[in-house]
Amino acid sequence: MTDGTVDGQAPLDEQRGTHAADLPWRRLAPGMLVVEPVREIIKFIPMLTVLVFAGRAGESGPPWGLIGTAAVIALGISRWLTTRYRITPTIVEVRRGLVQRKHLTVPRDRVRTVDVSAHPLQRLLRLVKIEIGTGTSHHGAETLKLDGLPAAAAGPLRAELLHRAPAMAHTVAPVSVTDQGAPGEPMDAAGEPPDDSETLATLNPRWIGYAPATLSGVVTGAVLIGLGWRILNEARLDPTQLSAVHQIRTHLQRTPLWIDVLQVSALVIVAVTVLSVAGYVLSFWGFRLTRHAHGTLQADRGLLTTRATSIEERRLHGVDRSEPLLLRAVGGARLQAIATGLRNRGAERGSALLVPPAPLATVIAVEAAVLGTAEPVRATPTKHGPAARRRRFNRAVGVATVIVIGLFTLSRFAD
Amino acid sequence: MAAPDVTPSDVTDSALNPVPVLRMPANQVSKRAVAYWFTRALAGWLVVIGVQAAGWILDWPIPPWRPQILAATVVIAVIHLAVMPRWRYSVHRWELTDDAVYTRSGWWTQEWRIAPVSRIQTVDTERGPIGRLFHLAKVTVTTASAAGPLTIDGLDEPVAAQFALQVTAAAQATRGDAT
Repeated sequence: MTDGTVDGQAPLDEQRGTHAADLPWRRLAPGMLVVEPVREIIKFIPMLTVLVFAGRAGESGPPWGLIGTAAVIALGISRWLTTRYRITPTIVEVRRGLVQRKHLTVPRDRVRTVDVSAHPLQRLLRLVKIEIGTGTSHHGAETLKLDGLPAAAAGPLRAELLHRAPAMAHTVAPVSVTDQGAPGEPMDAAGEPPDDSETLATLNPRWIGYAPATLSGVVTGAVLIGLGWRILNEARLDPTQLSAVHQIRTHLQRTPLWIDVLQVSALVIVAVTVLSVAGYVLSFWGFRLTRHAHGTLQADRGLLTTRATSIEERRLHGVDRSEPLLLRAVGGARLQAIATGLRNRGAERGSALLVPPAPLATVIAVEAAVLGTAEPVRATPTKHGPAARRRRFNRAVGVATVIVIGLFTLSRFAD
Repeated sequence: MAAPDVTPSDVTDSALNPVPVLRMPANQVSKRAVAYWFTRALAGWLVVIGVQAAGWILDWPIPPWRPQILAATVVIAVIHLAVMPRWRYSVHRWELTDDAVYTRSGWWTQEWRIAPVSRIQTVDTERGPIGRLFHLAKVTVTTASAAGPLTIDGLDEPVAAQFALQVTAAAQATRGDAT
């Protein structure tokens, strides 16, 4: 056998011929040509400012930052130029790549989730990013994403991809993607949900009180410190020579140690609280969980960067209510969906969210509404049997005992 | 490994003699793949040898035995380049039936894969710079399996395009499992 074509499959060929035939390839919205460079320049602003104020831009050799930024901008533009997509009644196709050319194809039946997001710059230009989840568990798998479509196209596209009304199988041009969002359209990434939707939960501003208990501020704080450190390094500044740092240091040296500890911990607690609250508001403001008549759950959220994740309920295999120690202590919980195609890491992090940290009673109510029954929510889990408990204690105490006895014996011998 | 009750109803030659599940997939990849793999491997070896040669010429302090290591590298490279492409070509095979995609790949270590069409999630076609020189493409079929995707390297570009279309059409026609 030489290169065999897989011909002779009349039914398949026919399907391909009648449906996918010659639909035009579409480009992403041209607005992305503005968005990409501007976003890169904004990222570069802090460094530029420091360079100007430090007055040392001249002596730091080639301006690597600027060169990098230019390269990233060029990449962004080439990404726009080389990306094309089309959606036929049976498949979703994306072509991209300048050197390494890729052609991704997804059968429409395999689409599990649609994630629509828009950062502030995109919202300004009424653009959105659409990520299509298929449920592949391959780690390096390319996600099917269309970064930069008119916001007005997002709603119809999502409905088209997830609802799969049978009549649509025969339409040739299923999605009308206009090049510009219609004026007066809502700037919401998701567009307004259709009227036939049922709201399961909306954000109550009181929930923000649960933010400090999530400790998300610790992570944000660490990131901010890292960022500040990088800027200082880039500007070749010695942090100990900054007057603020110097003052704090002398102040701490003058007071007794226990006051230092108190002051520093108070400062850390305040900072973590503020950052946690800010993080909560940024990611969950405007949160709303809705159920659509065609069997999808949709979670909308975000203050600046808006995000709307749609999950097909047919693919929803359960919910995951988590009550971390601190959150449980203040009577809170959060809820996530269990479904193939929702990966809680990388860029897709948070796509499984159903309810942000909120009062336990609310979470339980939503859980029952999502599952359609309160029974599993109310059920009392069976405890482990006595044998399991004995084993747990034996392992916990046993290992420690062996180590202690061993060390004790050793120390006796050492004497 | 695979479910034994899968009986592939073949669309290719082997339809005439139904054989066990892990049989030889029917189709070989493009003959040009031999030259493609040779070129790709050559590029890799040239980098390795180039670095060593630079070290020798510029007299870097490490490692010792530079000429000997360089000679050994050249010998291994020549053997690899002489053996690998043809061997790989004889191993690489693929087949698409109504129910499943079969692949065999590798040369020293060989891998046989079967993916039921009902589990196929996406089909990617990829053409790198060297592949484009030879008009060859790599097809990646991702599944919901933790074992990762199936790949067929060295397919003729039109064959790859045709394959991608037919796999997606078959996948669309077969209702997926409820994952």
